[in-house]
Amino acid sequence: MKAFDWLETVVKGLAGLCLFAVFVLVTAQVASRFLFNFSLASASELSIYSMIWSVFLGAAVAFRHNRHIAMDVVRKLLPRPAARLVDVFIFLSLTLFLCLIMSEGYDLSQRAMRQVSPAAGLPVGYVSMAMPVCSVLALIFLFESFVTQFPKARHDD
Amino acid sequence: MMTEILFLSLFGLLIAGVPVAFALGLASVAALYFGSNIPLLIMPQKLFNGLNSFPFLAIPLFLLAGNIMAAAHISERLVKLAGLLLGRFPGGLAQVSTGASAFFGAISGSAPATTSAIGSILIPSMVRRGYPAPQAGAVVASSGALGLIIPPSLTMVVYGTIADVSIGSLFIAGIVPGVAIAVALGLVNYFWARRHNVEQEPEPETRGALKTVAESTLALIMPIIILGGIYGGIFTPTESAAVACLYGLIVGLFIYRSISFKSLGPIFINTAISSAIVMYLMGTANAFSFIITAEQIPQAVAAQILDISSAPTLIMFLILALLLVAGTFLDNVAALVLLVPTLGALIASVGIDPIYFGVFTVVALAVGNFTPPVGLNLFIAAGLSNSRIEDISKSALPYIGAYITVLVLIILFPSVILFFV
Repeated sequence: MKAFDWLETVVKGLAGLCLFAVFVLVTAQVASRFLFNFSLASASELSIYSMIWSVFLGAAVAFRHNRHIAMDVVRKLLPRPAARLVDVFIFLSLTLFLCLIMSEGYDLSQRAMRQVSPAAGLPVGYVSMAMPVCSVLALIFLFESFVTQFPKARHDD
Repeated sequence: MMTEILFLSLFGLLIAGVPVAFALGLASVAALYFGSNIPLLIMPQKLFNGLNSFPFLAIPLFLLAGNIMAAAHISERLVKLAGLLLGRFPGGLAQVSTGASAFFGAISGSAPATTSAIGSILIPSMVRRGYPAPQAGAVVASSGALGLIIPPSLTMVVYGTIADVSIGSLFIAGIVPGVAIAVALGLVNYFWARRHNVEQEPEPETRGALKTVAESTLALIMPIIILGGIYGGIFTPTESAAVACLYGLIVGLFIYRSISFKSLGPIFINTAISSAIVMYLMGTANAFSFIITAEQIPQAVAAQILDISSAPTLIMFLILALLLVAGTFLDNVAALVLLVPTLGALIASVGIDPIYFGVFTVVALAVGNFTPPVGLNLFIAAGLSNSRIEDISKSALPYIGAYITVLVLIILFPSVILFFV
């Protein structure tokens, strides 16, 4: 699916970029302390915020390739029909959790818009917005991987 | 009531194969929804707060440093150096694998990364030299776990943040057990080679030796920067991780010239995804531990165990058994987030040092990286050596013995761990 490939490229590109920002900000903080004897408090705050975006973006992409760590020992022992039933259960559980993070996370972000971060002066809502936004992305990837892999009975070969 | 819902749903979800991060999240949601009046808004709040910490940045940054060093083909230089130093001993190539993994462990904080970096070079050489493929796989898989024990270590960062102890002290305390395990693995290699009459490796060429040493010294400066910086109070662990990335980039881009600017994109993207997987788990674990703390579960567990005995040594042996079992079935990070908060109260009440306990826990769980059914090192080694998981696991038994021996020594002589801290 071309559209999904494109979306994945964009999302993981952004995740990589946020990680790059983390690296640059932490390095800048060390450098400024050594060179100018001056601590960049806002850099440390922004580096945490970039990491949070990077985590939620990266976690969304991980759904497309079933990369999240799971214990599949028992599932592998099951006969095929039961295993497929378990797959549906896993899919529904993940959907439920992501929907919850999407809606509650959105509420939380709305409240956090009024709260301003101490050093950089950024509304915290822009950071916690990573949760609802990336939950939507995760749902898209989860749905796509379920629809394309379920008919092929994943893991069974 | 909340406790029962929490643990029963967690157990059910994990057994069904729901990814650990989401099983923790859903179990917490279930406990909150059915067992309390706390609004569910707390779930994203705890998830967010769990990630909102500067020490946590060390996780992606150390993973990044390891991936940069791997992309820079640093492992090849370390293998050459280990060959120069250890190749002459019985079981030369096996010793080189263990030694090179120890060196690589001082750069990388992850066990699978160490296994694939060293294994992709040395497993083929060992097989060519006549080592049985499962044996070659077992050496590399068990040595790869040194990546988590010799600092920097991903699992030590995770433990440090959960237990709220100094990550720097954990790193320093990890050196002695790391070296002890490397030596113990080397002894297993030695006896195996003697018993199977493995041919002695040819004398290493002295020509080029100086170049090998010079090139690998550049790589081994990195752990000196990390540990020296932390020990000397110059950097925090997070800062040292960023400096390590910077150093790796300079060496890879300009000195070895083995990384191109083009390949930087995939390095950052892959690191972002693999650290996201770990960090999301840490986030939902924060919600989970909020509930177990509120329900005073750690205190209940402590009381139960203290009923059996209050002798620290006996308790440590009980915990060792628990950790080995947990490490066998659970991913290391998942085991840490489940067990460390639960055992915290117990450790504190019998006066066991949390730094000491952290190193012990990290080493005990590291064994799970090369035991079936979830040991990632095994899967990597099986793929590289074209042998079956079952066969490698059998060959790995003496190496598991080496780890357990060192763990028992750590229990019996606790002061050795804390000597440098």
